[in-house]
Amino acid sequence: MSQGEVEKFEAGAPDLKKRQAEQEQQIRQEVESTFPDMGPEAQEAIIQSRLKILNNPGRPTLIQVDLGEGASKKAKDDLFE
Amino acid sequence: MSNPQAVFFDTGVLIALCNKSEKAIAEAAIDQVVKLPHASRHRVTPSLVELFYKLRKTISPHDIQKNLDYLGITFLPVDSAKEQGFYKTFCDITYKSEFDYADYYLCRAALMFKHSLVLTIDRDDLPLALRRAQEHTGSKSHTQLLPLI
Repeated sequence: MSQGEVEKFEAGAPDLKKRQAEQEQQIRQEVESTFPDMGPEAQEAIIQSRLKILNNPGRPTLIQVDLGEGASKKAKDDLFE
Repeated sequence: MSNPQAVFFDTGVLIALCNKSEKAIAEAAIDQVVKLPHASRHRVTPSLVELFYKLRKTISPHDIQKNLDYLGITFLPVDSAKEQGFYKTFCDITYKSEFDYADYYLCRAALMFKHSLVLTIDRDDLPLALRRAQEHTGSKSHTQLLPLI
């Protein structure tokens, strides 16, 4: 990145932070008004999920291991064997 | 049905997200959630116990957590009074060889939202658990179960 690009990037950073703070505030207000009966911890879980979705749009690349075919179906059987 | 406010992940789907051999289920789950960017995504205690037990010694808890973070799936805490209510009604309405507490708990947690969606691979126990939960509690909430296979 050239010096000019770095300066441009840094100049935009406060705007980006301000926009993110506004979005977070808006999500907090929406969740608090939509789910008044949920406890504060549950409200925070909803807020955090929505913030993560907002900040990571699109399809994620997941860490996967080979558990074999049908592992998802066998979960409970294995647990209580 | 209105757009769901929240999407829940059953244990089997959480496991498939970490399993190379079940990419089709993981992809189907991701296809669903990317369509619903406004809906928060959650897992609950019994699903989590099953998930970490099933994946023990194969994938680190740190990596499991990373996968859940990538998808914005957070743990939804249920307060202890509500949880005691879940447990009491489960004992009152469940008969031998039907659904288990994990199924019932997931349905009750999903019913805390007016509209919610549960991603699952279970076509038998979970629908029964949801029906009983709705009948017993008289819930007006709408929870849709979406079998991915």
